[in-house]
Amino acid sequence: MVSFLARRLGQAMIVMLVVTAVAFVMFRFLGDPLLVVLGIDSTEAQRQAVRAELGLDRSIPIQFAAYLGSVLQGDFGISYRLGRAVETVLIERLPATVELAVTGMLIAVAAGIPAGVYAALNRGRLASRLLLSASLFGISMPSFFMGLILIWLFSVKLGWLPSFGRGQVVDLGWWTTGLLSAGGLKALVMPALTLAAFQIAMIMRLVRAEMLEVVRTDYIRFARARGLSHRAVHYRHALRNTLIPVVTIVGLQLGSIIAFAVITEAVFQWPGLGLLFLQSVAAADVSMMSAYLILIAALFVAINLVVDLLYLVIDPRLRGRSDPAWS
Amino acid sequence: MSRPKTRRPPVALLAVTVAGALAMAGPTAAKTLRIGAQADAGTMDPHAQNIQTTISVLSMMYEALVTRDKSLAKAPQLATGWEILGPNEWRFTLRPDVKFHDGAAFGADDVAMSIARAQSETSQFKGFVSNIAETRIVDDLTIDIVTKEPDPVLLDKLGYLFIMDKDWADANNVRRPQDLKEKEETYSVLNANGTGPYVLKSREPDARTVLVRNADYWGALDGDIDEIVFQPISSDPTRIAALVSGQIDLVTAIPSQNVAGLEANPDIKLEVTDEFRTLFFAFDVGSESLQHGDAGGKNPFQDRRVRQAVNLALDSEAIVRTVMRGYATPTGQILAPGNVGYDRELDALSGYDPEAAKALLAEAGYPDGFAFTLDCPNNRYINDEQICRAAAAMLAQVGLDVSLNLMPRAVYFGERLWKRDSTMFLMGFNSPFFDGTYMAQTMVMTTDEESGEGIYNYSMNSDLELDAAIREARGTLDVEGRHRRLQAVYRSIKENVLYAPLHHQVLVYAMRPNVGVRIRPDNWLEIRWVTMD
Repeated sequence: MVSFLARRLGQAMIVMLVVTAVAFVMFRFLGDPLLVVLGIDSTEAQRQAVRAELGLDRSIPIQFAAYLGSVLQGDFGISYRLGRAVETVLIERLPATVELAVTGMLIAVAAGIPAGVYAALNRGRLASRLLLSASLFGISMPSFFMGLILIWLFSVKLGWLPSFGRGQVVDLGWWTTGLLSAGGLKALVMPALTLAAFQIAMIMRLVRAEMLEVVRTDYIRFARARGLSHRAVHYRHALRNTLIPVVTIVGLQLGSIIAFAVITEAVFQWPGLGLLFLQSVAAADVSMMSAYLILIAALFVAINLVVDLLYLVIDPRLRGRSDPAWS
Repeated sequence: MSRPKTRRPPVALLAVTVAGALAMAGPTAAKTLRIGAQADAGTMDPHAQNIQTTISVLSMMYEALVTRDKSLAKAPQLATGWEILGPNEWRFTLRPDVKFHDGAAFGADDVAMSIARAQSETSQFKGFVSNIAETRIVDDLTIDIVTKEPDPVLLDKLGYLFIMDKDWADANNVRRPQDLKEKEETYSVLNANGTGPYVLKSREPDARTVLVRNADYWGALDGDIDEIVFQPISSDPTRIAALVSGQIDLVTAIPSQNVAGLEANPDIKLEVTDEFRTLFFAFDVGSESLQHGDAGGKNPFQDRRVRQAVNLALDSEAIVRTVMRGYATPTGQILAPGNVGYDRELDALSGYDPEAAKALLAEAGYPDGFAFTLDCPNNRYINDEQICRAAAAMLAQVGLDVSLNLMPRAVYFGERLWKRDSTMFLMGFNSPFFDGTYMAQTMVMTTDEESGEGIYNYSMNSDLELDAAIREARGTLDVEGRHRRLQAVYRSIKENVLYAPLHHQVLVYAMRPNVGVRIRPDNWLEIRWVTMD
């Protein structure tokens, strides 16, 4: 158990190091940060002076070593575009993205699981066929298009919901939330739905497939034979066993929702990490882009680690045994 | 070109929208103008970022010595008047009884400090004040400015120099703009203290900047707007949906492909103005062989006939009609209307004639054309990417083998233009001083880093005769004389076919019918002229 944990942590560290290196090197080729630092009207002499001061004239491995050193001390540098410390800005934008992702995921779970169960238990009926075709739309429709349709309908035609921004935000000191005001909740509806659309479809299909699988197993047949009610069989026995893979997928998807909400955030001008990343790319804000990528990698590594540990908790067979694959 | 006039919606509709706007404004009668823009102001520091959006937003809070009136002539702002004491010496009389937002009095020491601040290493406004040798405070409301060389556009440059309170700068340790190299985060990035009509109330970068009316403002405003909310919305369709659905009142710089849809909407009013920005292609005429391309070891663009052939091959009218949807004016020159030195005659097009272009190429020794790379930004000018795609197709029709290289502006400038490493490229030059001197001096003259001449001469053009003519024009303080000399300079540029001009850009702003805006051709939103019924 301890050696398992140590090995996993070691692997996580290596992944983080590689991502940091890739982020660092990749963004050297994405554009010249001096355009933001000095403006377009600068002379070659000024640019060279600043390049030397910023250490951009050193070799890439030396620059990387210096960068790694300050990152390890929690210093991600300063955003050239915003003129503020990178970590301050990231912490400021995090709540918007987390609230959007979690809300989107809750909607997806709340809609996807019942729909999946229904489609599995009522195979072949018209309603479940309709659900399945609708889910195909959800999976294949690009999120920017979905966002624009929602904006057209609910903002332009009906005038019910704001088309951009986070609405009214309450500052709790360490967190800003849009969940405590009517304006903030209204602003959350369309971005969260856009983000949820794909997830609803995916969760529904997953639940349906798993459920169909489980319903065929022996213990369900046995439960039926014991004369248990349909309700008890389906919801107490079948659904519960269906949910184990679903929970895993939902956890992993939450990570990718946070990381890849970029398009949804851009369509709705949602002031979160994704929008920040897009604007940083346009301005060649190198320090911000590198930090974003490192943050996202850390998020994925952490989620994967937790999932691995959860398996260990859920499945007792993995614990005591000294299986070479797990030891 | 056809240009839609500002349309007034029927009275009934107007009444409905006004009622709607009032209902949204809530029970108080406070008037709030909500502005949607493509990008946010980058900072609240008046001397850190030379970007027009930032300057526009800051001009609501900060003021300069000189401004522009509605005829775009220079007019007093924090200076009430000025006189020329000698070729290098100017005396400015400052406006009495002006207070900064924090209550401090405005005076000559603030002007001297602000000029010094803009001259500091970390400022992006160095170019505007680099010709100032010293400032002499005569008394509290009089200051002399001494230039290194006679400067015909000194007043125009000072129009960009916002004045900050010296004591405030000292108290908050912001005597110079933030030093990004030192990784410092300074007070003036998120806070402002000017003399302008609006006071900064709150600032959330990339989300919302709220300004409220300065009750003690010394000057006059055309409107009576109490509060301004400036919101960046980067996605074009979302920004326009926000305007159409009444969540914002004014959108600056509408992309041309969205104009037609808005024109048909009775709840939206459009204002259109010629912008001070002309788009054109430029060539590397300095290298002996093509840097990116293959023409048998030669550089065909050094031959005037080849440049002329490119001009003849490009159908600028078709580009304006299709790519720009009519919202641009085709031209045969690189200087925009309204500038000192502008000559309407030079707008005459070279004419689209692919056969003549082929003949010229053959005459120059390239009957089968040659291969080269066309570099273009994809997020710098209106429709830049589509313009270049269209141009590449047109050049292919006369036998030129063009590879199109599209890139974001940070790569475009950083990796190509700054390094003088581009064979043919798209440029869009605006004239910050309403005067053709600046473009001639920084883009056409032979590059000399020391004096700042030719710092944008990415073509590596070097014509000593032309340099002398530009120098002469630059030294002419009298506007009429300079105007004539510059006209001759731009005529010679056209005769030499140094560039392949495309069009003058047009600015389109869209607004709710109750909002009135006068657009400045340099895309500077002058809040003092904005009204709201």
